[in-house]
Amino acid sequence: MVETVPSQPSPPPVAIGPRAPVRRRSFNLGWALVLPALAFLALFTYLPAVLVAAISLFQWNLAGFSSSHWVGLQHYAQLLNPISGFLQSLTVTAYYVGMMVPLSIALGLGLAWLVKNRGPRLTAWETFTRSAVFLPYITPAIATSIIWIFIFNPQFGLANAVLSALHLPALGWLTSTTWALPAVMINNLWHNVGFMVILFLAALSNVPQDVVEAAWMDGANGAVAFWHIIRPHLSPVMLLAVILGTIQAMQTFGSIYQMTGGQFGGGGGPLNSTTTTAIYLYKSAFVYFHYGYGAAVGVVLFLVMLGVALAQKKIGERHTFYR
Amino acid sequence: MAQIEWDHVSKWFGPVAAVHNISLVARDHEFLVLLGPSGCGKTTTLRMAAGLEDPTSGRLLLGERDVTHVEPRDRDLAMVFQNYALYPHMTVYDNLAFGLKLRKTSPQAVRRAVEDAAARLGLESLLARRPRELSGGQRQRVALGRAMVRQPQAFLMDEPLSNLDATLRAETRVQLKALHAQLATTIVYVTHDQVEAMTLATRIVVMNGGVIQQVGTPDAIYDRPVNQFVAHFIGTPGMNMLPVLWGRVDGALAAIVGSQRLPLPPGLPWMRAAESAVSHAATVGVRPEHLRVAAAPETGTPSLKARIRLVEPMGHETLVHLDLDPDLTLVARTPDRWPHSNIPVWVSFDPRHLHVFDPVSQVAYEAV
Repeated sequence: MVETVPSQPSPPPVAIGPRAPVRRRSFNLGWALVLPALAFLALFTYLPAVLVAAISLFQWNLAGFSSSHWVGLQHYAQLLNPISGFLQSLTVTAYYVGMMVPLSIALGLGLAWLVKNRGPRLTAWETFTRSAVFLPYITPAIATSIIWIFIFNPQFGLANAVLSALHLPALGWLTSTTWALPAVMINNLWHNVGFMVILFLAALSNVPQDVVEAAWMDGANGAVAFWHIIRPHLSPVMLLAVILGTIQAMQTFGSIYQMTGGQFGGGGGPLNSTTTTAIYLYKSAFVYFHYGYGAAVGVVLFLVMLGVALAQKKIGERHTFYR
Repeated sequence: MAQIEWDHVSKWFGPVAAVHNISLVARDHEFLVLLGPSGCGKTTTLRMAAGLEDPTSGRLLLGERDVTHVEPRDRDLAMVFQNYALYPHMTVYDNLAFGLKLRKTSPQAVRRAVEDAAARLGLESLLARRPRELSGGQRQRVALGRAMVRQPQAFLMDEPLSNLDATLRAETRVQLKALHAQLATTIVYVTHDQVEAMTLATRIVVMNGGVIQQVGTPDAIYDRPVNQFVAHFIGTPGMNMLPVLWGRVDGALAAIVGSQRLPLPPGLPWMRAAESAVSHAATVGVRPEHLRVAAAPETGTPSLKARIRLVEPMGHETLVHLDLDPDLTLVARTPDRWPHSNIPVWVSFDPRHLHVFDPVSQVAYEAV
């Protein structure tokens, strides 16, 4: 059957009376559905963000703008002065992020590989291991960090007990400027790895099995098949994991605050060795009450995170394969 | 030596035997087709040859070499997958070259082999494309090319044509047959499509329920099915099966079909077995293409009275569905056109085309 083609283009359909209100009503319904969420976002995210940017230009007083005085970009100039400690906090953050992101991805992918389902159905063991790996992620970091303080206790803690069982020297952990930040990292690796495991489990389940088998037939061993076939399939999730992991690491606050004596003066010790930019911000604003200065730190931290995420996306997408 | 041998091989998935104690040889240069319905174990049989499944028991031999526990990469076999399983992130060139690169072939040799395979399969203009930019037929050819470039000892193909449309499937079938003649290697080919099996195979292995039913040339499988399953599975439509009772009328053997008597001439090959069988019951099979439909009984050949229930015109032939008795039906394939009406007719056939099966074991009397 050949459809007849009209020689003249047919006139566009004309909206007839009763239809128009229906369309407008669905448009209104759309706004009505979005509005509550938008209002909350505006009130609790966008407005405060704009306010923070404004506050950073003032010597801020809690009484409001009328009792604060304009200092312009002075806080930003102070940030760049090495004496302020801000630049040091950035290096601590870079160290922390630089360690956490690759470690959590490697650990997350490794655990996902171990607990991924191999049969058609999940076995009881697989369900148990998956739950066990994910459980820490849903615990409050500020509470579980107290347990980690006990674990890292130099005299009675489990960490040093393990080291001595391995005939390794005991460490000062949270009292040592070298080991305090790694101790925090261990806590956060344990806490956050479940999230990475979930990401990579989903990604691994999307790798087509027959393509992997084709690589085996072509002569690939396990490692070659992983590198040449599975890894490219994981790359979009890998990029997501890098960006989310970086943002999460840069925002880390509760566990550092708790483990490094936050309740005794804002945390970040000993000797600022664990003072990440997030801790620095908190101490500036809420320990030393330099609200305007703290706001400036917040603005810079936001810009750094934005820049890093965009750079990661730009560089990462060159190495990412989208199906 | 590219002979593949399954030696008493079984494969259990939990409590289920997917493949049960099969012994089979794919001979050198042979196009061996594993044919059967879904879930009959044919793909599992193939995957065990590839090394993608471990047999639960039994041995696999490549030539003289026991490869039961050898990794797929060390078997030097190539596989064409049902969904092609191309590497989606690589170009067609890299898809073809991947196996050679892993074998540390020199870049010049890789280029030569890839270009040679591409030329044979008409892929030259597609080498820079990714699989998702190809049509189904092109992907299928890339999958074939990837298997070819390595010049493996044998090819394993798992329903490679099942995702193509009917026209392309018929074309590719012909190409595949020509390719087999050119390459002169062993091909083990899995399909549920009997037309592919009949047209391509040197020998067909009919499987059902994880067990080999019959191994033979396409002609042997068609002409001399060893049991009712094979008889019914091969042919479109499958063989007609009628329950009968034997009786002796005026000294000659006759079959009672429903309410009708069918006299049979002496000297048919299965008669001795039929007469000496304990039971007087049997199942008689006759292919639709061996039935003749006429308005009057033919003289000299056994005829049965029937009534046309339904007609399926196919252009070059007609499928006529016939009722012998209310619950006894036949399908005939005839070149004549029949009106779609409830008319009485006579069905006749050459008694040499009858197949007789034991009603309990369903095994052909000829095969006993």
